[in-house]
Amino acid sequence: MRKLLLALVGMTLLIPAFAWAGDPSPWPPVGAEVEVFKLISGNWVSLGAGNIGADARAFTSKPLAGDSNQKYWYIPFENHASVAQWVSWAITGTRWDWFVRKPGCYAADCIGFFIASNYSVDILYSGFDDLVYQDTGGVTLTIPVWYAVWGLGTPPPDSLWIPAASLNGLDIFIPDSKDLHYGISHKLWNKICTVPSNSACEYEDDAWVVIELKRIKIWIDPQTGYFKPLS
Amino acid sequence: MILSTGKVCVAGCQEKVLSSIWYLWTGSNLARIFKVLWHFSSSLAGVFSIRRLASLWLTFFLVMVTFDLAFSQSTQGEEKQVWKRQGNKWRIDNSNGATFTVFDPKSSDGTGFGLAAGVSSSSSAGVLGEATGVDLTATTTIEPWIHFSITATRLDWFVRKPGTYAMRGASLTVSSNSAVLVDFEGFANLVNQEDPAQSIGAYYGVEQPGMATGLVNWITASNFNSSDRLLIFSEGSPSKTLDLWNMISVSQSNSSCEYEDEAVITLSIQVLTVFVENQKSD
Repeated sequence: MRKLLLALVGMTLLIPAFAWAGDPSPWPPVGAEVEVFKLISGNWVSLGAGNIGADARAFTSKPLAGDSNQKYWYIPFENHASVAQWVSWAITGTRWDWFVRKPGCYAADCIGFFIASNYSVDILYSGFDDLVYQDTGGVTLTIPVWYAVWGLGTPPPDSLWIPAASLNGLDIFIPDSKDLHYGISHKLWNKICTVPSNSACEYEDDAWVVIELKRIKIWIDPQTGYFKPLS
Repeated sequence: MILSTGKVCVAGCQEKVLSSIWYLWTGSNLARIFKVLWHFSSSLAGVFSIRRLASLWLTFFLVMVTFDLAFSQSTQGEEKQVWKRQGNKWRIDNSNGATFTVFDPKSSDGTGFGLAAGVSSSSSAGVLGEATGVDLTATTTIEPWIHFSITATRLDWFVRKPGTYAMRGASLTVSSNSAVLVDFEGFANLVNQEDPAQSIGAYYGVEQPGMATGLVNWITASNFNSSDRLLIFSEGSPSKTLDLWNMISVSQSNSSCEYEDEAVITLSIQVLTVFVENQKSD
């Protein structure tokens, strides 16, 4: 395998069916936007107002006034927070390079994968396949590839290996959980088997891993992950 | 000579009833009836027998009481047009900000019968007058009033990432002619609308305008409910403004969702003082 590209195309944005509870904040919001401060290393840092890239924004609405002789005035007060889904992920490598001198089956702990989110995510795969001969001619033009999610330092058992093409369309759903909030780590193993009929050459496959957030708020721009414009 | 019955009465309060009873008695009508009866009894003591005199006394008393009750029903006072000063001009006040009622100005026989005055049950101003040579008493009753405005009663946070955030949520301005208690109730952490076990930590602060974020005295939402403020006004400080700050702490454990808390701020007039201004002519 000469090159395997794992591109994480972050946030594919399918808005799941979501029953709004309570009185959700509308977007564009009513009222006036106010300056927001964020506590960073013990200091309050202004995030300003109107910043679509801000970590948080705030609006105030429903002003009220009274003028009378009545003894009691009851002022209803609402405080509402809409928390968007966030994801934090890391991958130790998006390109794997095999250098094979002799035929045989080889396995390696190729990459480490970390993901944390405050709601369910889907991991989707596409473009996975055997490595393809990159030149003209040749005898056997592919090198079969398998993948496995395995956390130990030795190769996984045969039953866990998944042929590359079988990954495509596979939907690994990670439900919302405390573990997910604080991060889940996995190792992705890779196995190839070269045979004597594989000519000396370069073999390659490009593929994609897609992380899909399952809850996108109406005020989030699904393409950028920032705030939608107010108008 | 004349008792003013100035009492501050907020709509629905029991002081009205007590005031009315007090007026009925000390407002002198019954006392005067007794006084007149005693006067006549003394004059006629030598003419009629004691039994006859008692009968006359009782009959006359009943007639007078009946007359007085009927009379009092028909003399609830005459409400006068009230003018209100607006800038340099006087304009007719149709806002019911004040009423002005004149009660039976005087009697014709000078016995003191007719001089009745009081404050109507719903009036915020009354006047008491008497003929020349008799004391004039003006009674002004000012009911406690309150004027307030709050710039917002709903705060909406839109949070993309965990962190601790703060904003100046609202400004509350109150003015009153009485002390006002600002009572906070129902303040709590923001509760996940799908999973009530989850919440976002909420903190509040009440500060003078212009306070820097770093100097706000943050109070947990639950403790905020016992952080009532008593506002006292004076000529030099006729209104007060308080800034209501809010801080939320969104942790990694907070799932993407809607979080909410509903609370109530109650403004209540605290001192129902009798504010009576008497002016007596010499």
